[in-house]
Amino acid sequence: MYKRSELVTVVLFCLTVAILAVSFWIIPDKSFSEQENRSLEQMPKLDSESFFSGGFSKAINVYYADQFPLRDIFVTLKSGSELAFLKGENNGVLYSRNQLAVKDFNAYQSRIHITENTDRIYLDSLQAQLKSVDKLGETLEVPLVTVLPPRTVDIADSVFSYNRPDGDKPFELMNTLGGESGYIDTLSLLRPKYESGEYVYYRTDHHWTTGGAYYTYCEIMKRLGREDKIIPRERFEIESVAGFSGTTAARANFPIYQKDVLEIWHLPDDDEYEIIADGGELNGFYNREYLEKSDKYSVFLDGTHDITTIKKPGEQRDTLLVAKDSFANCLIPFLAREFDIVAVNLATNTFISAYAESYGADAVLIVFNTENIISTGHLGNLK
Amino acid sequence: MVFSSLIFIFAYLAVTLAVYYVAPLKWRNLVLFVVSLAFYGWGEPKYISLMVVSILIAYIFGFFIEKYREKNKRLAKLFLALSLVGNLSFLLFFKYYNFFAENIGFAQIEGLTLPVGISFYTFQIMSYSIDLYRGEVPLAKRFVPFGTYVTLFPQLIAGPIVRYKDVCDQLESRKETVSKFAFGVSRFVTGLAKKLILGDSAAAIAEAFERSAEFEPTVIGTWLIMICYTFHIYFDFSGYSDMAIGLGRMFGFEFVENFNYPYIAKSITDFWRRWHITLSTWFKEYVYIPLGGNRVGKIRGFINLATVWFLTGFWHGADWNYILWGVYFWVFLVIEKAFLGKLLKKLPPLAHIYSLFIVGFGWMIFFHSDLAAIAQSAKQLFGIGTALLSEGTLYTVLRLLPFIVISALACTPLPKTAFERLLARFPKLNAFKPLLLCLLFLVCVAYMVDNTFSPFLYYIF
Repeated sequence: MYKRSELVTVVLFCLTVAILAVSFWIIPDKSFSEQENRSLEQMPKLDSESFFSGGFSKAINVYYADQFPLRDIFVTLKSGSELAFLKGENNGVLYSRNQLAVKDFNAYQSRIHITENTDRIYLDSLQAQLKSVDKLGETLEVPLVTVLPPRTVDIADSVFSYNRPDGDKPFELMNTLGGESGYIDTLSLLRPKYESGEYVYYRTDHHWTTGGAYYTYCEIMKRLGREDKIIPRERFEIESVAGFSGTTAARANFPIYQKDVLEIWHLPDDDEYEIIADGGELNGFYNREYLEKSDKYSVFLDGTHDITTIKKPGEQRDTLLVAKDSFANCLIPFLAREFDIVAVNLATNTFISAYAESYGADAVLIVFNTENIISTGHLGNLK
Repeated sequence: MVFSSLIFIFAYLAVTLAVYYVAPLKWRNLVLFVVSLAFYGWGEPKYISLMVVSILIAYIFGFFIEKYREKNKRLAKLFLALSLVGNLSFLLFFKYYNFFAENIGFAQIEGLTLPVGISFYTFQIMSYSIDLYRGEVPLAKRFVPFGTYVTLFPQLIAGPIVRYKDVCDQLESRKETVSKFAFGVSRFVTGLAKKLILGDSAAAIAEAFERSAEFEPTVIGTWLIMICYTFHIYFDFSGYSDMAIGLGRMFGFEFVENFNYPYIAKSITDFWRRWHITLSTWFKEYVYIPLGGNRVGKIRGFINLATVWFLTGFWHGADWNYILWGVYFWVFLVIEKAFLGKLLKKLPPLAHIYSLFIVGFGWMIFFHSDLAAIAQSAKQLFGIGTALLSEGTLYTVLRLLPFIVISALACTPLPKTAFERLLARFPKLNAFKPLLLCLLFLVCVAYMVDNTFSPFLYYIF
């Protein structure tokens, strides 16, 4: 004979397995997770090659996890359980004192580790990448301005009890960039603002805020000799969008954190620009459809595109070529009030001098964040 | 397919359980045989034929061994040898050829991969042939039950190493009951939790510290690496055994235990009675005792023991560090036999610390194939040329302290006895046990759902 609790155990287990197993196949597959802000894996194709190489079984495991019933609830359950261990970390994202989510510094080290072996070589690799920036500055016939935005962990150094020996070394190296590179030290610019309580970086996303981008815009204008053309802060009408939860938070899925406020800084001439992104015309600087989704940062210039051009019809203006990553997306609307813009994705287009020539650029701006420099090395391919 | 994957539980196990319990009694072994082959073929489609050939060798030679066992001992011995050589040659070739080739200077074979589970199933098959020769088990007349024994998916890939004599009766007739199934669920879920919640986390911490040690090695950091390795391998391996035993029980099988709280051992001798018990038993029964065991002279006894531990180390992997790892334990076992054992009995707390350290350092050898790295770790553990602590390490250690304490407790019988005492005191709580188990299962599912998250590209752009 058996005890009642034993029967309950068996029934509960079998029911749980059966219900989840069956509903996995019944519930239609989703293509995107709003909570995690990323695309979900689809059913992999089965052929003999992928089966025998093991590729299929790997892919189907990801497919199972991505399309699993109640995925959002399970993901939250896991991060809650990780927090219950008081580790203050989930999926490589740290949870800081003022509820700022940031990628674990160890995870950064791991990225370095993949390409290089020790701290010194990593700095060497950075140095090599910076050298190609210097070289570009020397070859270009037009002025170059270089902005290498720090990571949240650099800006908000003080709120992490995590001590990062030599954490500022990369920025010391960047400061050795030659005059031709037009380097703007955004760490020295933005860290004091952060310390004084200004909202320059998001808590839940790896980007800077529109406010942080504005400070950088002012510096770029000064560097390009247009200090008098800087649009003062008071002239903007600021629209605040609450409830923004960005990529870092999506990765960690901590059940408790304060969401961010995303700001859009409007001017009356917002609608007067002609913006072409990868051949298609955009409806202004801001694609408001994204405000309804979790991927709110893509409101700026419709997210990542390979080539984006911005003109103000009827006006003859200088052209600024921007070689960039996503940090530039909220910065460009400021610059576009002064320049015609040609923005190219630096990850896929590194032949900058050729672009500068073919578009007749009057100046070139590089915006590439430190995380990308460390993890991709694309900066070293600049020509 | 690993047990701790969604596809295993929610596709494979779900279907297997349904088919198994719907099938009539006499078909159940066949069902298990077929699904086990599918289980193996899923992860190792190339080498499934190799396993079938191994089974056939032992199965066919079994008839000859049985035929001549009484009449012609020498002929029986020849067939036993043929069967063993047949099986071992696969293991030797796939697992050790490249190692020998490298060390002797022959050409290595590129792309020679180890068939999954070959070390385990070869030993299982050999136990049948040897025990049959010894007359300790009946001849496996029918192919399906014998094939089921070898391929049985719960223990196929990572043990426990079930001897034929332990399950041959169960293969012919076993009873599936609600009680057994409930126990199986409970063991399976416990094993799942051990592996997913504790084991994987310990592995991640060890890895992160290994990486940061390349930037700033510290004494405390090195100890943490050692401790996390120690947790990782225990939760991973004993968790897997728990799952295997639990799964077996769901189908009515009762496998022998493989772990018995190894980290509460008070000597290395004691540790090896508690760690991977089925492997130690196998070596004892099929190597150590046939060599003469301890009923020989002292010197010969030490040599026998050395052989066993050399083989134990070598079984774990074809590399020098595994051999070193085996011999390392042999040294301590000999010392304990000589005098240390008696001394340790008088000093229980010290004995425990000694055992944990020897075992923990053993895992450092186990995990580092580079001998220089092992020596470096040893130096760092004792602060030779290394800073005690850096601020970065201190922060992480403090952050991880609760996890380490929980893991340490989970290695002892304490949680189990506390839970049982609680139930004894408040019998009404028994009603919540299934619910708790179900909740734990769901948490495990959550860990499986969220561990393939790799948003690398999206994150950057």
